[in-house]
Amino acid sequence: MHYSEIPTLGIGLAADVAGGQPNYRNFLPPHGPDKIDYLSFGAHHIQLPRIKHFLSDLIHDRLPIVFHPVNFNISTCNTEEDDVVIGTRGIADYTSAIWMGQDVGIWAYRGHYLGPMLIPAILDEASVSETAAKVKYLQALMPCPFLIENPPVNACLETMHMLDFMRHVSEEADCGMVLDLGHLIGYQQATGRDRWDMPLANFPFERVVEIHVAGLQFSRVGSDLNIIDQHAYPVHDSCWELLEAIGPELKCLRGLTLEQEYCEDHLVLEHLRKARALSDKLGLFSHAN
Amino acid sequence: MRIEYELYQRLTWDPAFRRAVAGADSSEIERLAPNSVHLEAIVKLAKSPGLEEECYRRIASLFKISAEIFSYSHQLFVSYFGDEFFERVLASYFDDCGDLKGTVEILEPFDGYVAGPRLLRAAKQAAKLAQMSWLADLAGYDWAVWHAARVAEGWPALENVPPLVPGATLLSVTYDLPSLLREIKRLQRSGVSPEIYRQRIQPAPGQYYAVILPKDGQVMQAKIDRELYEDISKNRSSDSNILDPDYRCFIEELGIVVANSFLCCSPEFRRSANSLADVIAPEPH
Repeated sequence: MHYSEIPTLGIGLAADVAGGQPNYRNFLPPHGPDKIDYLSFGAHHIQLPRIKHFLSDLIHDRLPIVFHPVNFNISTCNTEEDDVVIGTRGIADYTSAIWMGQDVGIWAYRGHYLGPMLIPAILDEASVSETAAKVKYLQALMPCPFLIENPPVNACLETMHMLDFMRHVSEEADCGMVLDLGHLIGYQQATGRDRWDMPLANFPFERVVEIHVAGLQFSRVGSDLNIIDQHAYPVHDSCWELLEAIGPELKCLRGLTLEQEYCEDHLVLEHLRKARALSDKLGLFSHAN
Repeated sequence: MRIEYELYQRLTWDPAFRRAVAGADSSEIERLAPNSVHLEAIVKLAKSPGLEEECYRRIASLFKISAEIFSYSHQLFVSYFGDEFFERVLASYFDDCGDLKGTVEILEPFDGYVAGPRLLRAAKQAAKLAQMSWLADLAGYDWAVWHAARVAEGWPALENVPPLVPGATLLSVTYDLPSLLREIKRLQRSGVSPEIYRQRIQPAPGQYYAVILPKDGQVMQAKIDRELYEDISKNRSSDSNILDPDYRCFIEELGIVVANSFLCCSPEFRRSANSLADVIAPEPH
């Protein structure tokens, strides 16, 4: 399936499938008036048994699922290990994932999983080619559209802006994108740019399938400031502001994901209501097919 | 993989290298960062607050897991060996150190099963160089207790020393270990300086033999006499530093643990390997 054929889902929640905190089941029918439209989760390629254990009833009830793999090195053009491909595909198949997306970067170094210590993609032409080649390779192997996400960045090597990099890769690979607003805000700070100094005019918003919003952690060391993606914190105002600013451009958006792992239910409820109100105001899903 | 990724990785995991690149002149940069097309950018990167933040995250994570595993010896690592000790561990973190493919490599980078052996190895080397074998023994004790606790939680043992049960360690210390531990606890309660640790933590004459093992979800420490220690030692079928040759069971068990754990977003989050938690019933809101 091409990313342009993905159905519109609405507002989703990223959470651990175990439902410890937050318990996403509190936001599924028939509970409350406040419901999420889909569940997004991340998992290792070997975690299918766990996913089956916690989600089998919801899969049976056809809860829409968005899957975030964590084992591919998106920024290198090497092929991936067979077991990683098979395992990841197995999860996507089992959950009938509507789409899957992973941050562009290096997630495993010398065979070791890096997780939160991932290496962000180098933002240059050579990296565009490598990343696009990897995305095309994954698109051919996965049962649903594979999207690229802008990674969290405190420091990076670049000859172009992150958004230009994402544009070039998505056009070369003909893929959709996940635009993580918190990652983008952190990237702007990390690269010494003003918050709004980004090449939005040429950015292919029609390729943005999913938006992520999350909390941000501000680390001040003397006069230096780092803005760090922090899913355990409330969604930061700057994320909402950025979403409101670009909202009119997001004419093909399929999902807005609240990344709220480790947040208490009451915070999720607050953000869900805010997201609904904002998406109604901006008409984010008014194009729904 | 492009050389720039190797350099980025090294800049974030090797603080000494980062300082060298940040302070290098143009003639040194090519030597430090050969074959790169982004030499100036790499120097700029090395000096950036963002990269310093990335370095901090790694060294802070290492300090944190060290304090957790080496509950008695961590402060002594700090007192005697300083930040350089931890920096050296980080710098060699991804060097070949005997990890088996498909096992610890799938854990978070600062999981105890990844960090613990590296810290223990480095501590033993540093203690040997400083002629402080007692500190190496203390670190071994800390590791044995932590490892047994983890096995008691349901994880597979990282080391097996037959005929002992998985996760058990045979301990032999040529000083009065219990007294040393009590004194360390006194100092910990008062939050004293590294200098005071160096002054006051000195092993007293004596000897101590024990088996530390996981049992019924807890850690047991069974004090034994020298004779029993030597008996057990004679019957040991492998060195405790060598992993069980038949590691397939371990891989499968560790795979089960990882399969049942939430590893995506936090290295602190752990689940027992034995059973998955129940699905949590929703509550009205």
